[in-house]
Amino acid sequence: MTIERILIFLLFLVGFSAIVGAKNIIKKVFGLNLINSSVVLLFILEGSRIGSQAPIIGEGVTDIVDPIPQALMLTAIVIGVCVTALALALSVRLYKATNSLEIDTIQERLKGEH
Amino acid sequence: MSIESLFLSPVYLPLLGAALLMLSRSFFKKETQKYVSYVAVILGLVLPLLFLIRIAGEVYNHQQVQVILGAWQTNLGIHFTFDGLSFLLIMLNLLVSIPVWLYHNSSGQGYENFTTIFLIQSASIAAASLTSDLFNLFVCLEVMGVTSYVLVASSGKNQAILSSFTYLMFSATAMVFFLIGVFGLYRISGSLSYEIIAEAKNNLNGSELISAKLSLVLIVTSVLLRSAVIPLSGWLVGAHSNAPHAVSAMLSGVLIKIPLFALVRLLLLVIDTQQLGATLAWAGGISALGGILLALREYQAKRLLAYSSISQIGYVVAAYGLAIEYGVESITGAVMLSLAMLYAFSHALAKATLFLTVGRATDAIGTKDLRRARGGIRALKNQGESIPLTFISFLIASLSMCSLPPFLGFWGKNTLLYAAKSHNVAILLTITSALTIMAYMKLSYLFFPDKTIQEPIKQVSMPHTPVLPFLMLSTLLLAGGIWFPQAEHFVLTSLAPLGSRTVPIQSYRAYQDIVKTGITVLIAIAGFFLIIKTKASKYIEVKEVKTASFSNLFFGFALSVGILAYQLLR
Repeated sequence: MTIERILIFLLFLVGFSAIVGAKNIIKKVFGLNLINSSVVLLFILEGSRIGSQAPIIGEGVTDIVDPIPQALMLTAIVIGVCVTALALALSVRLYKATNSLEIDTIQERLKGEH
Repeated sequence: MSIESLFLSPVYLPLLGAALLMLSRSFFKKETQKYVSYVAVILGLVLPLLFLIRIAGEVYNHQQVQVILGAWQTNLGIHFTFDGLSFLLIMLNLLVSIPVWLYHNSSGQGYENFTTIFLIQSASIAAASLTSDLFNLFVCLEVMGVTSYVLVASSGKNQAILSSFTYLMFSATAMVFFLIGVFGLYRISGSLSYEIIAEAKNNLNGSELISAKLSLVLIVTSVLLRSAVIPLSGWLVGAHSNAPHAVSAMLSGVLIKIPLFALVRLLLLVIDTQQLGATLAWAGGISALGGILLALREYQAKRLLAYSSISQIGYVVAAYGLAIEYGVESITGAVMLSLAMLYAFSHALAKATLFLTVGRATDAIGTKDLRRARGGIRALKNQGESIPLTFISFLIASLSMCSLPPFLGFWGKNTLLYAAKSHNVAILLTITSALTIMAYMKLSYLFFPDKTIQEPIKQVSMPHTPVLPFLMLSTLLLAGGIWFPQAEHFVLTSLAPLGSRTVPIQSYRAYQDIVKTGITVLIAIAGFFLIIKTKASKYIEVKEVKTASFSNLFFGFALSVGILAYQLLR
């Protein structure tokens, strides 16, 4: 159990360092996706600790895992996709306007406009 | 019709309106679509407002509705609670968004999906104020966020797109932390409903309690980021100053306050939050002072207004923090919570008016630069405005913002300062009110007569004055000032079921502090002229416009989590 948690934490750190450190805006969007996925994995992992069978109640199925975290994460994934799509659309507009994907260059080139 | 059948209308009617509009795009021509958008707005914004006014009496009599959507079991379904708190928040949204929509409609700057997105945003605000389910709150906040990123970017300027991108990255990252917090609380309680979570948390001890408190810290910090409290406010200025005027008004007026008040339901149920409340109160005080100092350095009209929003949300957060510190069961706590709500109303109405009028004036003059922009009244006259309605509305809103009688802001701010006077935060807030007057004196340069008569910098042709929205907002500010005791009594009574059932009697009336207000104004005027005459403004003013950086965000976030965790765990 510990090794999975450490891996999830590392995934989160990779994503977070991309958001804070990366200069490329597409990498920032990737970072956002990574931290989102790590939280999704965390929910699924912890949700599966109790019980052993898939939560589809039928004949002889008794020991089911908690289905709520999975339902929640479906919603979270959908929201993540929406936010990513919007972020990428904005990145395209920024690239068209400044011909660059580096955040510093973009800020530099847009400085004159208000 | 009863309260049960009407209370969900602010959620589903705007969504219905938005759906109608989207359908009409595939069936009708442009001209017809315009009429459909009127129908959608009447359906989605005006009708819910009428319904809410219809059930105001029931709210006043402490009637509450608690439902589980879809009739699921207690620990599975989404809990919705309709009470005074949700009533007031939805009211706040509708009272601001109707004039703002009218303004945008008459301004003619077309972004054709504006109304659709605007209605979805209104629905998400209503849902966030109704929900008693932590995950549902997350979803509502995300929908609110996504709609506002789109609206900010809809101005089409490249700067606005960059601001929207920064805003998106900041708040989406914060929402991931919110989700981690949700996970921590779900793990201890096995439920997402506020009541069950609070009950489970209140019975914990040992290491479980520590992880529950840390989860709470993450949730509170992400909500504070959405409410733009210093040091988490970096994203706000760019987003609010580059957005179209109507969107700035909506974001600054309403959107930053909703997450804060939506969270209060959870915070009131959890015990041992005195330390958290005290920290929030101080954060509010620092935010108020810091925000206004930054605003004074700005020379761009809309950036000054955006910084002033950070300062004003500081007042709301300070009152809110004090309410949590004292506990809403106590009379002082209950009074503080209703004052936070009243202050939110007064700021929302005034700031929306300011963004709309200043936006219109700067468009007419042709520049936003306060060092050069003069002669707003004349410029607007050239656009066919024979009665200076824009100027009058601007004046009313800034007087209310500077807390001068007889407007809502005078009562709101003075009553708040009086109620908080035993706490040290009140000192910060009092200094801020003098500085606020200075900032708005600087802003009023826009309407000063132009001594060197020159040609307008950029000749533009503008649509007619949006009379109705300006009249609505100014009337509300004035009416709030005249009937403040009644408004205060209504808010106190309708919020009473959250804490103490007995309604406290407020004996304080702000006119006993009218001399103090006069002195504050004199100090502010003296300080303002001192700075102008000594040319000190040259040293204070910002040299270049900076965009918020991600490492600052990280630092601010880590700092806030650290402080809150230290306060809660020690």
